[in-house]
Amino acid sequence: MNSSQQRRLWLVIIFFILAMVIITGRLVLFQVLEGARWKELGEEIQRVNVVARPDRGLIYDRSMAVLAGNSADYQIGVSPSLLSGEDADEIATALAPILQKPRFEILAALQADEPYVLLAGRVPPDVAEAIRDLDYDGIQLDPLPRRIYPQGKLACHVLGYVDFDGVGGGGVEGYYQTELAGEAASDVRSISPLTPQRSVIAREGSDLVLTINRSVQYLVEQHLERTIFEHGARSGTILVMDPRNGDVLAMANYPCYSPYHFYEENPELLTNPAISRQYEPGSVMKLVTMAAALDSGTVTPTSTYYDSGVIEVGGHRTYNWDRSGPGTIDMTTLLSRSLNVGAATIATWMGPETYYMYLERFNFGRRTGIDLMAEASGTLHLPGSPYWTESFIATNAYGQGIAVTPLQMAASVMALANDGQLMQPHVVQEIHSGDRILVHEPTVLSQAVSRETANVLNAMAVTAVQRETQTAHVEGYTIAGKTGTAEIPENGVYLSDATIGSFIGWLPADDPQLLILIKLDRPTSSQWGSMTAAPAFATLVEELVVLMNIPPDVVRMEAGIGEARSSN
Amino acid sequence: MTKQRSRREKRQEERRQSVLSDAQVAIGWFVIIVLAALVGSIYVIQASRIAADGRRVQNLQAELEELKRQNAVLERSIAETQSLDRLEQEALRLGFVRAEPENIEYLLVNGYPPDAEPVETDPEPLPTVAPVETIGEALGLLLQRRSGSMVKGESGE
Repeated sequence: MNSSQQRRLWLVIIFFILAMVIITGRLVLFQVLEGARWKELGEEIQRVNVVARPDRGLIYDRSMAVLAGNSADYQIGVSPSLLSGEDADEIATALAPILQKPRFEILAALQADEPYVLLAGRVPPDVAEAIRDLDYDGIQLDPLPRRIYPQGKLACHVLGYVDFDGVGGGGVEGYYQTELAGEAASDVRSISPLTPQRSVIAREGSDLVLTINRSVQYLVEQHLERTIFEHGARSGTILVMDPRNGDVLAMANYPCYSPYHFYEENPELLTNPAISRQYEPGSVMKLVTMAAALDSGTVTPTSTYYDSGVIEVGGHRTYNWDRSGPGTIDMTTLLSRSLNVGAATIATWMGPETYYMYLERFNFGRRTGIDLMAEASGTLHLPGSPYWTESFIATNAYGQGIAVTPLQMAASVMALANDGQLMQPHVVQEIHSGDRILVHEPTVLSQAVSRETANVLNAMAVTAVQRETQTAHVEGYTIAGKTGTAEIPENGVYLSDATIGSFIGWLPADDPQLLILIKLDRPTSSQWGSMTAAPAFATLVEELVVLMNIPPDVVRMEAGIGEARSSN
Repeated sequence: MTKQRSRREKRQEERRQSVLSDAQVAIGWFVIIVLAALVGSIYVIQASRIAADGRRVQNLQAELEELKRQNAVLERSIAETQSLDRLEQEALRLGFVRAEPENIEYLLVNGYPPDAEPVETDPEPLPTVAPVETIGEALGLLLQRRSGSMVKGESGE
């Protein structure tokens, strides 16, 4: 080795030594002197907050058909740094027709000097699918949970809706928000593949099985819509319930709304009139008044009173609906002919203490406690209240000066069809939470009247339909029921040109399985419930008995079904 | 004594010479390097395997999410296909009509439903029980049985 070679060798050695010194120095700097800072920085980059969001529970009808499920909309974003100039041009051209946005706007977003640009806040799954098919890198599709209602508008007010934050509004979606939503879980964990990954498991939302029968609900909604148009009514409600246990089989209101597009609807439509809007029930209330009078021993079906056509109580004059003065009348006829003077008379015979005790037993002025969001309590002024006057005992007897929700009215009359027992209405039959199934047990709110009173009133209500409400008659079935024509108070006076026509009936009268309330707001074909709601009841029952497999009375009697059930 | 010392020194010299021999040193270093390389490569292989597995798990998770998404789309499609609106339209298209009460004929089957009293199969009619012929009679009989204990009469007013 000559001296030149030796010199070059030394240069190489010195170079390597210097390189080693520098590398070692940097190593010491990174690992020792600034080790803690770099370690923390590294962990911070690898740490992500993982949130496990539970799927919202599903809602089924009583035959396990899905009424509410889950899907997703998508948020479309882009990372411009991952795109080349040519890509941006091509992607903008492809995205413009899909997103229905100007091409230049999308191009500007794609060329922005930002790590992430939002292209669309929320698009439906089909749009997301079209974008996914383009298969461009850099375009990000983030799912956003969205509630879907496969049956469309069916049972809209029973179901309610879910807003974009996942919070239920109205119906069972609102009432059972905690159960349906489940509980999200979160954890901070490293995305390094070398680090063991802990599972983040959320508590999934519980599924609900409703008492609603979707076929009955569908039939009832169709029927309500037809009836509304037939009678020129502004709106209406139909309730179908099982008086034996308080199951709500159908709850329909017209107009309805689309729970999927709730944000586009008139906010007033989101309110469930069947439980949230109150009205003066009118003559339907005479069923309750008569039941109270019978149960308290004030009258019997054959008791009589003299009806002169007018009665004055507390300075307020009450007339019969047809301004007639029929003379001596028995209780069955009073109910059949729906005489206001008679109802006011027997209420005054009972006296305020007895009469209002019964109204409280029938749960007026209180919520029924149904498991739906935003139930109203109705209005009942009791003696001693500053709003109560003596005339109220007369007017309340035939359904004026008292306000109820359709559900409250139906629930009260349901007691008369169920041996006097007032059942709490409910719409959720089962809650499925993981492996557990919680089953709703029927709840008795009160024994409003005795079984004997309920049976006598049943017979009177059957007679009332047979004698005076032939429009509610259904061939082969014995119907018990009562019509109602209620005036509408506005600014302290009753409107002269608008009424609420209603009919409440139950069948088979000897073994009630169905109780139906029909309420039509401001019908124009006739102001009387007997001409609007009662025939609508009859046509609905004709279809319901087929759908629900309720045989005619003769068949049941021959088979001994009614006897067997009533003896249980 | 001198002979023993010289033998020991000789062994020590031989041992020192054998430790320091170039060939043995080279072999020693070789072994060390091979072992270090082995340990290093095992570490690298394991680390890369774990990394690959980690990525695979992440990919599988992404695939799972995608399958869940597709499943949700299909479930939605099934539910919408079973909507009553669609079923009714389809039924009407196929020529079905709604059943009316008069279209239905009820047959009495002995022992069904289970909670019903069995239909009398004895061919001899029971002389004491008159058959119910009208709805009114049937209902009247039932209500009479149920409310027989009610006190009837005029009110005192």
